[in-house]
Amino acid sequence: MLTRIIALIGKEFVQFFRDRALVILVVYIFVEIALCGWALFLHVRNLPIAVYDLDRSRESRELVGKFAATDNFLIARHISNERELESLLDRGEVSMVLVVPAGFSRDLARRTPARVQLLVDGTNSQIAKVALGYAAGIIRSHSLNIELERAGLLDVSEAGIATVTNSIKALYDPDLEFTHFNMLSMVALAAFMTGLLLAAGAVVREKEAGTLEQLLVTPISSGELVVAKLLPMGVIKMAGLLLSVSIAIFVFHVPVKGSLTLFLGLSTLIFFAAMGVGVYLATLARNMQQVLLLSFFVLFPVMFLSGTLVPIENMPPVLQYLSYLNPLRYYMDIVLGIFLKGVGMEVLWPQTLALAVFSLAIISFGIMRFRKSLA
Amino acid sequence: MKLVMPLLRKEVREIRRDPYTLGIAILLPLIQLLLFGYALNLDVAEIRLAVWDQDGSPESRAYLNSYRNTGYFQVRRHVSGYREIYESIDRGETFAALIIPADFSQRLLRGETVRVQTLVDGSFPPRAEIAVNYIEAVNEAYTERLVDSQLQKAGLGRLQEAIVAEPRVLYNSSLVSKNFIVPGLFAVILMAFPPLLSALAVTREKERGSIEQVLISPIRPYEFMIGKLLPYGAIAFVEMLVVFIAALFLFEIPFVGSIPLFLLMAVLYVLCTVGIGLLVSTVTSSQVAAMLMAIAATVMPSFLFSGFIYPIFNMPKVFQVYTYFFPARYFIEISRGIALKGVGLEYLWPNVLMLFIYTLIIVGLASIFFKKKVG
Amino acid sequence: MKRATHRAAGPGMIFLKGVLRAVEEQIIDADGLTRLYGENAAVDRIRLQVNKGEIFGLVGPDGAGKTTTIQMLCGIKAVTSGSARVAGIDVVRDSGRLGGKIGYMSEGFSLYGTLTVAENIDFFADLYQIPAEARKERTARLLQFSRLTRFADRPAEKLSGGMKKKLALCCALIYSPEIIFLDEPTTGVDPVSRRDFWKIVYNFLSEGITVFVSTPYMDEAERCDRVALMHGGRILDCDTPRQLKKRLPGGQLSIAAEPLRAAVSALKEGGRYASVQIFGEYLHVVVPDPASEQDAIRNYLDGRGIKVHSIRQVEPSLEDIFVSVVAGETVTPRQAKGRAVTTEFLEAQPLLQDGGYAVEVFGLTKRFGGFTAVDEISFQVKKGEIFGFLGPNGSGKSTTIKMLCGLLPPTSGQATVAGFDIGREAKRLRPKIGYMSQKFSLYNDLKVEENINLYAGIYGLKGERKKHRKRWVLEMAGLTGRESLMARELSGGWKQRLALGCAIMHEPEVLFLDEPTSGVDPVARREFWDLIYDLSSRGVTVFVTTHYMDEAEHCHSLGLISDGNLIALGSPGNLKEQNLAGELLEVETSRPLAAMDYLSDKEQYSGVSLFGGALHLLVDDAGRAAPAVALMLRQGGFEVRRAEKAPFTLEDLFVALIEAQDKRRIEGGRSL
Repeated sequence: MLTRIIALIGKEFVQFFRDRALVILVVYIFVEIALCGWALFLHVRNLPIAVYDLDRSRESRELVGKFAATDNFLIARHISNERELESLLDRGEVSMVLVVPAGFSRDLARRTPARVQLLVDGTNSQIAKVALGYAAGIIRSHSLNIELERAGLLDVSEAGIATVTNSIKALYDPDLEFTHFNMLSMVALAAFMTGLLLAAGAVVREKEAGTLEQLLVTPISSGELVVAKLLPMGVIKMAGLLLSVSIAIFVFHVPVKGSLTLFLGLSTLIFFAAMGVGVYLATLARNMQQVLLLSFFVLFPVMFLSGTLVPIENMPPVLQYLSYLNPLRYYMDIVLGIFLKGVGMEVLWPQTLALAVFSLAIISFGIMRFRKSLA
Repeated sequence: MKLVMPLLRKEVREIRRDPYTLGIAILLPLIQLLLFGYALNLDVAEIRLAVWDQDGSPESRAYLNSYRNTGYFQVRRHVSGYREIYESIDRGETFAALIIPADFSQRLLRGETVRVQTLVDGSFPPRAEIAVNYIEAVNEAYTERLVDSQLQKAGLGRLQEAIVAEPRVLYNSSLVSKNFIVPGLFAVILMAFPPLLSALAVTREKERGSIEQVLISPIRPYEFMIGKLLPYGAIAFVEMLVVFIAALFLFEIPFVGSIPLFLLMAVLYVLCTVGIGLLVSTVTSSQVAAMLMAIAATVMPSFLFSGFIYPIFNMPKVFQVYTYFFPARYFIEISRGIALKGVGLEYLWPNVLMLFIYTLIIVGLASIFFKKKVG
Repeated sequence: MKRATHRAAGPGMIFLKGVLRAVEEQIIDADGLTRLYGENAAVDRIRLQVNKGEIFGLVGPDGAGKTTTIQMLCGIKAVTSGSARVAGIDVVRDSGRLGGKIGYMSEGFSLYGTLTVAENIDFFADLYQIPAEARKERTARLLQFSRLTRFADRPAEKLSGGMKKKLALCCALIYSPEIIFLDEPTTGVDPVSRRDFWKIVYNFLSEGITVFVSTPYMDEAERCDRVALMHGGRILDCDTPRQLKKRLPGGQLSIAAEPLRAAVSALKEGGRYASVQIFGEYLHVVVPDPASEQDAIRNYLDGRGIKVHSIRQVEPSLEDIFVSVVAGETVTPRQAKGRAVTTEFLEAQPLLQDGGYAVEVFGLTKRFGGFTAVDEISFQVKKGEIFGFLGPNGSGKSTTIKMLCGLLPPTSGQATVAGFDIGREAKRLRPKIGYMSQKFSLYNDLKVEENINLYAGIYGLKGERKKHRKRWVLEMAGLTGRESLMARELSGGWKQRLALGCAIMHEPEVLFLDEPTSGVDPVARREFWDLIYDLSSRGVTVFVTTHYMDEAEHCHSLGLISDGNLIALGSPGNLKEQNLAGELLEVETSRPLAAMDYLSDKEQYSGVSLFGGALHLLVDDAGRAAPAVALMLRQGGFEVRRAEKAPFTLEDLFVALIEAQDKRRIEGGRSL
């Protein structure tokens, strides 16, 4: 039995490295991970804004200066008429316009509330919300300074006035740069996606070529065949995972708070889950086209209901329940847990158990259907 | 051009006989829409708090209530130590933790600055960023009231609001993320399947060898291309309509612009996406390779580098240029422009022009590369 | 231009007109046509001229460059150098204008599976813009000739292999091209469908269509007007089949001897005669001087204790020519391997001559949904026997084999193979059997040696035994020294032998071969059958399906299956005796296709059929019928070269049985 499996495993390795399309796919995924870490951010930095200053006073320039001083905003344009304002927003050239009305400095001098307008492009609600938050914060603190100045309180604490400062610290990704989350979710996604596609493709290709039929008349059992197919792929993918994790750690400085060994160990579970799904899909499909379409059919929900793109807590309850069927969900918890939170098995055992049960079940289903559906 | 009709008829018959593929072609976009629409929710509805109130005084409770009263915060748990805090955030039970020091009320009464600490789950930065904004705003509002009451007590008068920010959200004024996601989805979904289907439709003929019969017939390359472009374009357009109707009635997207204009633009975009599939098919010979290329050239970039979720202004300059190579970028701007802003061609013409030129180039290249040779 | 020459018909012009006519009449004129793949020339400076209206055959071993040649002539493959005009168009520069003038049926199946028969034809009619009126008439005619009228509404993918080929031909003929290229059109097609196929081709020849065909069937090549022999990218010879046959040095003797196998080995011994082939119940030996050598051979065999029934001189067939030309050209790993195989296998395989049955089948049935693929068949195969399993495409042969190999569970009935029940004991059965499917089922992306290693590992071979068996497979397949070639780079014959080697690596007791020689050239086929004989003589039971009736003649016993029913069972000789009444008259004539058409209009000879380049007629008394038929043909303007009684061939039997079955079915009102 061992000779049989070894013979098959050797064959899988040789075939993998001869297949340029597959090697290219794997390389592509690494490149993509790198691109994501480098290029994709969801935070508000250098948001292009325009300033429509009708007051043109020292006070208005002071306020505008506060906006210029943060790295959240980038003053891209100073505009001089209403028409320009509308078209800038309509064309999406800037996402926000700060309008300082005429009479701003006069109102300030008169100590009546001076109004400024913030016109925000709400198309990207996420960006709009965050930008508004930052802008409101800037104006509020500027306003408070003026108010305190008026009350003659240049230094609050010296005057015996109590204040509360709240120092907010973000755990896991202190700069909220999104890179860490992005990288890790891409690593998890890639692990699942490639596993599923490679396994499904490899089985169907043999089915189409008729080579599987030839193997099935030999003394090999379905179990041996499946295991021999999955093991080498698991090894190849482990190498891929190591590479992508190294990029994440050394190039993008993703922290590893927990145990890397534990991470690698638990990663084998997601590989087998993904490849198990792939083999199972291959037993359902008749040809390559069908299996590829089926894979997409499965991959999309798996991707969305896993927490790799957006947190599951935000989803409607039905989808949240559905996500419990999703192996990637558990793996995502494991990845974030180990890398960012530094937790170990004491916290992650339920996820590990769920993943193990899933892998075992799906691979068993695959083996059971194998001979019946592929001959 | 006379020979386009027979090709069309043949394609329609083939498509009709393959309900499996057709079903997936129509169904998958819907599933994708539902998943994206419901699952891709970046809105922060409620922030679950863990509170470590070391003071336990009326003042600290008042401070805590200022969070509760906004309606954005829910106190999930009272804890007594960092370990419990970390554990609770690690497990995802709470999103943020508020730590009020033991001398909170004492220092307040003494007129000193009190330091409160907040820990936020930063593993998904987009959410964390909004939460940080909220927390800061609440804290500042509290401080302002605190200072005001102290000034009053000291007989120094009241703080008079110096600057009032009047935010006005244009377009998606409710700042609901689905209104932002769904119009972008039109672009992404149409980039996911139509190119894939059309690429497979041609490579399938190549693999089967049926293309040889067509090659020796009097048909011209562009006729063949149009014969494939139209039926798959029609399928894609039906996909578009299904998704569009679902978006209007299921997700109740406020569609402020001109629907006919939008549909017209959709036709252009659909031709472009199907054209990309055809172009891919001319340079590949196997279905698997076509699939991989289609994914690499369409699905991923349109998702990541189109401004669909990740704003383009956040990307490094190189990638901002990179986005111009993917038509999804143009259509997303057109789609959001019409749906959310209600603008017309007067603002959108550069995008429309680019999309038009792009489509012409794609279909032209496909016709040129489609040699009437087998190898 | 043409009109101008007509008007100015001076003496000089008449000469010019003659030249022009000659040029015009050559529908294909290629010179120096070459196609390189990297450094390798797939087609090497070939010169080809094909006359308008003729049937031109291109034959050659696998990998000779036939398909590349055809694709270049069709303008769908880029030409490296040289020139070619087809139907007056320069295909090198101007291939775009070929559309509509040529028809092409590629080797692979190239129809739209989900479209029905009628829709497929319609699509091609559309492509070539056939007017509605003509289309209707022509479609009806094509369907009738191909006997596909009943299946007009069936999706193409649900047709049997033979029907698919016929449909492809219909599609290519719907628009009346000037020339039609057929690339191995009948590979893997049963004899009955092949006959239908050629009937269509012939019928449309009368429209002046030129036919350019490549084929691995030498009997089909015999009926071509002219044949080009291609090998290694070059054209070695090109002439009429008659002229080609004259070039075989010496002559050919046909010997009936008993035991036949012993006679073969005796004659081959010590390289006495290079070409000794079993041909049905006879041996064909090529000798330098047939007249003087007859007695020498008789004495030699007598001295060996082999009984010689008859020796007569026969005309060589095109296949003999092919074999001699190709063998002369081929570098010879092929020849060397014969002896090695025999001895090595002898050591490894214990003789199993204890009688008993290797395969026993009782009431075996397989249904797919409402369709019965195999319908309660029962038969037995003796140990060490070569059992030929024949039947038209889609009759249930492969399904039966798959059930016997344990790949498909039967719906009902039972079977034992090598003593094990195929259902209950499938696991224990598998080490005892070898299986080779229709398609090449080894890994194309693995090297020869890697494929062998894989199967050695799968069958648990280790150490010395592994080394021994590996060497044996390499030698048997003639692949020694080519271990590091990728399997996809091998030509058809080599692939088949490699697949066979891997299938018998573990020395199985029963070997299942599903159309092992489909599409393989005659030389490779002969060698392949030598191997099968060797295996059989060592006690291996061989269960084989084939569409080559000459191969079927080599089997010890035959089973004929049609529509899932076993309709005949027995040895080739018995079957012919029991099922064929009367005598067979073989007539060799000029323009055999036209002659057949001519005869089939005469009522008493309507059963005439084409066999190779000759006509076969079923008559009560061949001696009496011969002069009558000859006279009739001469009156029709045909030259009759030979008309004599001939032994029945299996093809006659096969066609007779299947046609009788079809008739019964139609009369019985059962529809498919």
